[in-house]
Amino acid sequence: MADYGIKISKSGFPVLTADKNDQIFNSEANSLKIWATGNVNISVSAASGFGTATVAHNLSYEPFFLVYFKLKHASKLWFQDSQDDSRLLANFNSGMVNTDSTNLNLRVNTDEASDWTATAYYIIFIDKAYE
Amino acid sequence: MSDYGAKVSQAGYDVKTAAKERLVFSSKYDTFKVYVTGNGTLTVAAAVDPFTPRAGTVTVAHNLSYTPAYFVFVDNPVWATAGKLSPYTFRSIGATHNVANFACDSTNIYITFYNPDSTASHDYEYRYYIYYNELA
Repeated sequence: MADYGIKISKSGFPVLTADKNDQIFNSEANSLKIWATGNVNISVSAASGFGTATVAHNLSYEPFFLVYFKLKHASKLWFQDSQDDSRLLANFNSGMVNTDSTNLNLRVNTDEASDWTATAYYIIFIDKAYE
Repeated sequence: MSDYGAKVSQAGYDVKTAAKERLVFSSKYDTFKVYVTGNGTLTVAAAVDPFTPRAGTVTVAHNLSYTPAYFVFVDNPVWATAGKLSPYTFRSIGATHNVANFACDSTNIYITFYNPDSTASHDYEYRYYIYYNELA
């Protein structure tokens, strides 16, 4: 088979000899491609201890994704399962997410005494979570 | 508008007809672009008691004017084997705090470790990736 394709190496590495780890792009190797980005509010109930939301991705398979959560305390965006840092103990404000072939399924757990609203910032990739 | 751009398909797929998930690259879709990476080790002192862990935070300034996407790998020398890195925080057991939490704002990323071990300090290993991609 003919040797063809596109390679771009990192600065300082000759493209003809650079290892794949020292390449920015190689047409032989798949790259994560972004399908959708955005954010969604999640109403979190003190009574139930959680809130949920879904994001339809309109892909017919389970995609790779990343989600970051704005929780009740502080304006930081927290990675999945990270807990809000306002209290050290018994702090159960945290976000979780999974996907199926239709939606991202988001859930925020809480032990707050009153209702509040979380926001999830998501990146959905075209690439499948598995082949 | 005219149909233009660049596409590369996976081996075995015709680039002119391949589904989007069979493309290696398409200029129609944004990609994840690494801005900076780094790593280090943070020592966190022994907990006061099993329910009062000590905390330590690594703060990394990113000098972007927005909140970027990020990824962090950490180990868990308390409940697991040191040096084995995971992209997920280690969940808490009972009332103790997670071993690690990750967050980001428009100035910094924050990697916070909690040591629930009241008998010894621990060294926590971390590696981070910050991407150009904007979250908020």
